[in-house]
Amino acid sequence: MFDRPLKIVLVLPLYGGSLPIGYYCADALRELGHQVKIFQAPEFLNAHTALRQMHIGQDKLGQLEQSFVQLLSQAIYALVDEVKPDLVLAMAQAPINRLLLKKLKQDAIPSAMWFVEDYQVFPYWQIFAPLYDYFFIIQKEPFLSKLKEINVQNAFYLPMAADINFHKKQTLTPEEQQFYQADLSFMGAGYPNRRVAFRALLKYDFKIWGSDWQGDELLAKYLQKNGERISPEESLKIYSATKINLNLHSSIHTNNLISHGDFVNPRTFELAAINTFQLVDKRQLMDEHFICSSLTNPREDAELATFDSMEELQENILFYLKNPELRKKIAQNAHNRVKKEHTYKHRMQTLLSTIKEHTPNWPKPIKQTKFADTITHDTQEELQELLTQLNLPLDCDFKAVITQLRQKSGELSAPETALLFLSEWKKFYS
Amino acid sequence: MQNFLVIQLARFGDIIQSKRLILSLLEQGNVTLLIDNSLEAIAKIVYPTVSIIGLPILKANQQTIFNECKKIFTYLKTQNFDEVYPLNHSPLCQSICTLFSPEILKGYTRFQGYNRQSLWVKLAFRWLQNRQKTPLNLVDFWGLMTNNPISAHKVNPKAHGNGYGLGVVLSGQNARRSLSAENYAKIIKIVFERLQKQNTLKEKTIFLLGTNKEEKFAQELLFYLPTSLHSNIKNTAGKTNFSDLKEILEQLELLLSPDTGTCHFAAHLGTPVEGFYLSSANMFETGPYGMGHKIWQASLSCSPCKEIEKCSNQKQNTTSCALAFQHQHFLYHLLHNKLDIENLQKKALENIIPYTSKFYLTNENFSFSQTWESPLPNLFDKQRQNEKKTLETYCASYLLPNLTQYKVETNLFTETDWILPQQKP
Repeated sequence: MFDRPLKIVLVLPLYGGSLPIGYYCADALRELGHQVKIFQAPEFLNAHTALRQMHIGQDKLGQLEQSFVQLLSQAIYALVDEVKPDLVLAMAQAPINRLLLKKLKQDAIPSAMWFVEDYQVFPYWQIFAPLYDYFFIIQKEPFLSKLKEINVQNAFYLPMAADINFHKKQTLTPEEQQFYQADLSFMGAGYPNRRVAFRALLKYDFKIWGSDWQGDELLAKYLQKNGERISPEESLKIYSATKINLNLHSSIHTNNLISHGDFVNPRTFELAAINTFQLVDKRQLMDEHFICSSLTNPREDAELATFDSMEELQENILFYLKNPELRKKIAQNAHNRVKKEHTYKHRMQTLLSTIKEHTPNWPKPIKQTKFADTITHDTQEELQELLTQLNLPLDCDFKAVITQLRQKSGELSAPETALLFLSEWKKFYS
Repeated sequence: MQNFLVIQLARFGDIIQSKRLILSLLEQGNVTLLIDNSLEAIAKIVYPTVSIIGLPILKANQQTIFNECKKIFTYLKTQNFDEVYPLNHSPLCQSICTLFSPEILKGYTRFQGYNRQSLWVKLAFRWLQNRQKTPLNLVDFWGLMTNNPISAHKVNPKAHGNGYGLGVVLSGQNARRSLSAENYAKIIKIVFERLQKQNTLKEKTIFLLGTNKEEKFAQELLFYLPTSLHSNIKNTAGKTNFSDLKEILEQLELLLSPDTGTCHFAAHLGTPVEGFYLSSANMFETGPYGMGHKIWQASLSCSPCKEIEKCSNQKQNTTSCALAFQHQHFLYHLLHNKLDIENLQKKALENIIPYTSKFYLTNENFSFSQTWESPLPNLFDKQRQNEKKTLETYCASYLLPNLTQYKVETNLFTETDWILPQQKP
């Protein structure tokens, strides 16, 4: 697709659900052969926490927070100016302010956001979306139309995915197996609909993992590790040890426990990638990504076992607990599907090809290095790769290379040392 | 059942305007209301199922305050509240917050001696930068601090007159927000005449309502009211307690009032209010809450003004907004009450806009907030509407289903709201 690796600055948010997705995207882009410089916004979160803890009134704090976001945006711009990327890719809630987005446009650096949130829960897209060159979303209508209404011309659907290098089935020690195993488990935050829905499941061998479950007396004894936050690594163990992983999409409303929303959450793809069985509530966009099967409408080639009501969930639990081979088969089918179509590598491929399709002359061709006639082709290739690693433009001069090498800390590689040696040699002998 | 504490240390009217929040919390559990002890009686009338605790604030010495507050605070600490709602920005209210863990404080919270605000409260301070387009009533601001507010239209009963007299609230705490006795007397006479023409008065009494501080004003009013009306007048200034006031209010056909606690009491009881809002009074902030009330709102370029600032728009030794209520066209419309465009164009109102209160329901029988409508346009109507829609969108993201999603007004939100962690609501 591209005749050279792209240079991409990926801007993470300070916190939140988009953060791990950002890391998966970075890995995927690197796997595709591109160079990714991550703006590590989470490393600034402690600074914000420190600001909040200062002994100052709210007004002063507000001003400092504004300056803080401004500083982050300036830091991002400094990185962009240094790297001169082909693309700035931001995750939802990335600390890119409007001023920076306008600057990127002035500098003709394409910008894209992958908005991996529910547009109804995070309405700030109305302000930011028009400022991005590309806006990728995990929902379709009416969100796409709403974006058009505010003149966002390049909005595209890009669903969630899984990272098959990370989301893998775990082999557990006997102690871990004992600790994590359950007939039925849920791993995630205690959203209001889940708190109510899970009250109907207490008769099962049921474990709940995750945070924000406090204050619920009924569920308390099913909550593991006192409701501590579970790391992504530990969640893999939970998923691997569980017979039925419950995947109920979150909702802040309790009038409908099954929200019948549109987008498919990351957990659906992740559980599938891990090759572990899940029961998931049916979503409007699910059929595009997986072959869904219900007890009333079973499919031989099922990839996901879905439910549409609490009654159906109960029936599914009873049925699948008695059918381990079917669980295994469905989980394997889902795993195969994710590997084939739903990895972050696939998504990043789609994202980049969409941008290429809609951006004339992108990416810009880079000026080629001029080598002396005596330099062999192999050496030229080696040196070009070195320039790319050093983040130097391919048409830079020898002096710039040496300056960069001298500033490098740690051990240098053999080619790097050879160049430095060459530089000294030239002073005496050339 | 959850346990809630609401701290409301302001005045009589504010206690009643906390009603949406308190009713919402009552649907989820038990509520304790911490107030100034001089207002215990009214709080018990308005909230009979709420546990009322009065703090000695007025007329107390230092020893009493210390002893009494210590007792009360010791008790409060034993109650294990799930959520605490401090409703006032005042240092007094904020100091009480130190009793509780910041995690359970809603709206106004506290950290190491300094107050902190949730995003909802920050939004309120932003929209109050320009009071001319205030989008929400105080009742709604406080009511929407909880994640499960009841519908706005369910807070107070729909106002309807019961025919037993015309009530007149003598004046509010701030003299500038009240009409002069001479002007008020004309208005009372006209409205009384109107009610008689409408034949809705079963009892032809004019009740003058107020504390003994308003006795002097009552005498001035009597001076200006025609002697032919004196036999209809019952001056209750300084003679009623809150129970007596309730008895009178709930039977009235109509209550005339500036922005006062009594008008909120009337709204609570479902008695129609016809209000006169001028100077710093802004019915979009503190209008009587409920369906079926009417406000004549002064609308000059300086409206609403700041209470503490001197009036910069005086004419004939009086404030221009007060003068507007003396205009013959205003008095004409007050009498005839035909507020259609044709009549309003024939006799144009100067610097006054009449409003009636309304609620709009979504298809889930939920109303987000109170609305005021007028046949006359206001410069700031569009901006007010846009801000209201923005706030509804914001609340929809964490509140209730089927609230409509609208375009977000950038003057209410800042980038830090999206990028940095926030306390909601």
